[in-house]
Amino acid sequence: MSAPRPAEAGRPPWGSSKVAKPHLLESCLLSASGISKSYGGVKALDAVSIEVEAGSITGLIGPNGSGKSTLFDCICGFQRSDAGAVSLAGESLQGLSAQAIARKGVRRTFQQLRVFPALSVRDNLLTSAQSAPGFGYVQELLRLPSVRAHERAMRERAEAMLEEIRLTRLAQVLAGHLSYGQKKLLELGMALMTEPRLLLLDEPMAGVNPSLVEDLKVELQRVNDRGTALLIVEHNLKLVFDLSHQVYVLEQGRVLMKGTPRQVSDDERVMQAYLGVRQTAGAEQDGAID
Amino acid sequence: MINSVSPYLLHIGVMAGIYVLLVLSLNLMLGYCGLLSLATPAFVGLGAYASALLTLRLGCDSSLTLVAALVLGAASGVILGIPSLRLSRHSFVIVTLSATLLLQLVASNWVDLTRGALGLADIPSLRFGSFRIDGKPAWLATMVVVAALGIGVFWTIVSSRLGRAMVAVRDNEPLAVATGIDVMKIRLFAFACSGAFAALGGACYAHYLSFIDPGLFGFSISEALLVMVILGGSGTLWGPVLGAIVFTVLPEALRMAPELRSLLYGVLLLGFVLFMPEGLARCLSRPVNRAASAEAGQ
Amino acid sequence: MDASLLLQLGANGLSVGLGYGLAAIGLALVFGILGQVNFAHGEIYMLAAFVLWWLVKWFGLSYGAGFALMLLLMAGVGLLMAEAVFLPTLNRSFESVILASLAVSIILQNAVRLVFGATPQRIATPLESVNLELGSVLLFGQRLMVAAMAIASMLMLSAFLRKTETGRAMRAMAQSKEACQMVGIDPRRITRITAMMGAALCALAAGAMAPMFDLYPNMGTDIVFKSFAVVIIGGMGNVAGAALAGVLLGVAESYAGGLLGAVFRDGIGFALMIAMLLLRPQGLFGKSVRV
Repeated sequence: MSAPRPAEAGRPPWGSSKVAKPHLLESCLLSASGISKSYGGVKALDAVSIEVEAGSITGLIGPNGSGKSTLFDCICGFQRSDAGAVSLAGESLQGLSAQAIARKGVRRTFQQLRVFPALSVRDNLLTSAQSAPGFGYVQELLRLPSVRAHERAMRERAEAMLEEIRLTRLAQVLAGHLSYGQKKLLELGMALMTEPRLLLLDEPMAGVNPSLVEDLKVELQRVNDRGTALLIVEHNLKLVFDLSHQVYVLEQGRVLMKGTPRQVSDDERVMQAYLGVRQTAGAEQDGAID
Repeated sequence: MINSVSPYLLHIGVMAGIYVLLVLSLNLMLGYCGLLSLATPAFVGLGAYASALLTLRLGCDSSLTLVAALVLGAASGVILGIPSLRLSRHSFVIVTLSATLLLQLVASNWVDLTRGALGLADIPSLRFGSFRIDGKPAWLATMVVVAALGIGVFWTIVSSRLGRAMVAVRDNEPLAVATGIDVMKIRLFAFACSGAFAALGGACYAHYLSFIDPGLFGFSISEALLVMVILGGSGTLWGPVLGAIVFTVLPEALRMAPELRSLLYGVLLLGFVLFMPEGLARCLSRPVNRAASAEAGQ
Repeated sequence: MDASLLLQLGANGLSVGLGYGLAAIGLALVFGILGQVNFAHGEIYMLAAFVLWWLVKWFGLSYGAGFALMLLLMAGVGLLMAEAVFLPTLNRSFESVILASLAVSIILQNAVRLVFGATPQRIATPLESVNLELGSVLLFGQRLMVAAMAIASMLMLSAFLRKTETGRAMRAMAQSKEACQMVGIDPRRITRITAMMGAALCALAAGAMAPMFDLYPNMGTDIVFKSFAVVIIGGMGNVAGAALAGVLLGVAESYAGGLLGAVFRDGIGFALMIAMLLLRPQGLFGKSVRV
């Protein structure tokens, strides 16, 4: 975690020092274009288009009610958009059910923390690791050797994941008994069990204490280094700007702007819409976020 | 040795074995999938009538009729499940209840097939080739084997990935979907298995008591099963099984009038639902988890 | 086809249907406002009928006086149900309520069986020999009373829900329990009132219709199924829908029974319900506590 840079005139002290990884920028992993969604007379999303490059971290920020969670729902198949198309590495996701999209390598977390409370931590991870494609119910029940081999591999991966999210000693505990922070870690671990190509995180830092924020941030960076693209909705702007290669700003269901973290953080409109803060020389607005 | 045991006790043993099968049927839906299915009597009746009719009208060997009952039960689960499992959970309960009423209506009126309210009598006992299950001791042995097999199959299902998926869907459906679990498919599978278990129980019932009538589709089976599952511990493997044994033995031992027994069932059910919804099995295993969770909560 | 027969079947169906509607309104109300399916609904109907019979037979009350007293007593039963079933399970899983109300239905049915026995009973009514002839159509007095009561109570319920403060509070709770608490409406109080009204409406239907049929402890099962069918056809939680769907069911049954036979009369309820669930699960009118 780098020390905060001294405030330059007119600029907040954060700002991504990220250099885009050039070879990855060439492949657009997720493309959502023209997504619109209305509830009754209220337009939650109005022709929103975003792109996520493979292996990159994209931030999605905007005031409450700007449509971020709705966009996630539409991308992941939890809601059907009124218009627009979503494709993953060129393959259309139109009309696919949410579970089918999950099986294509798109995982997500939810704004309201979700785990399986009656299953142990380890079983939560195992349940999150999908069966291999082509395994029918019959094979699962008869516990054919191929199924058993897959199970073993999944158990090994679960153990490794337990290590990574540091819940090894709580492996047998029912997930419902974990503390909030532990559940957050478990939630992340679960989403990673299938080594997704794209992980959508809906406010991963909500309600998390600062030291755990740091841990989660390091973990997310590690995940990204391994090749998973991240699309993060967050209100913790410092975190978003530190991590992301590019940031989209949503306001009232529309894309206000898109750019590098520096571009976004410099933009007057974003400041007005989101932070209600104006640029002043030497200003340090670090602590005002959240 | 077993021949010296009172026939009455043997009878209770056989009925307990049958109820174990029925309880597995309900527990899979209610305990593991979190769906209150009142369709068990429907599957029981279907299995009973199918096996009985195949034996009476076509003289089929019991290996065939039992398989037919299993298949019919599973197929009915799928047929009933496809429209009803995508409804709200309230509607699912209503539809399953209505299915049993509808089948009762059909069984009472399709006299050519089922002899209507007269029922089917003189149903032969189970016969596998030249080997007949004759007499209560043989039946008890048979039911012990069948029930054990049923429990074995049940355990195979719930301890597999499929069982975990059912619990996942029960406890947090959106998360299960986000994990890639096909909700409808797993529920249909569970309902089909539930149908198969109950149909097998129904077939055994028909061949053991040698008489069935449309009343088999009535609510009293569900009434007893609910008590067995809820008190035993919905969602555990052994709780409802023990519940089945206890609540087959107890009413017989106490020799209660049917209305009084039903009244007691109602009171017990209400009490447990309100005050101890996890049943007795969970109560006993709770201290284990409490220790682990105390450590987690730091 | 004999026109007068068709008219007679239609008239019968209309009055029976209004009765179904009246019986189902309580169920729709409870579901719409509390979000709970009351499986003891049929047994409340049955208990109401038996209480009326008991008051008339053992205390020698007239039909009218017995009816009024029975309504009061059944409202009390509704309150008991609220205390025993709806309030404790207010924040619990939905199965808890269904199981608890199933348990209550088992208790009520068997309690009545033990106390009154299984012999079918009958209630005498002053309207027994009253008939009305409209052209070629014959309407029994009791059926007319059912129809009149059904219409009157639906109108009164509508006025109550729309014009009174409690009624508005009930409609608010149908929308959102949390929002209610934020504006100072007590969900527990609304739960009690709704349960009492649901029971009273069900009892009203029972008192009006019971004289037309034999009373036996099992009759709740038929009623609850008919009420479920009505509520599913009309739309769960839709009170006006229940009324209209009830009429639809009654008329359909009447024609099916009169023209095709008794089995079809019994079966058409299932058929309509299944068709509705397959084609339009939210019912003809969808969910809303509108009147």
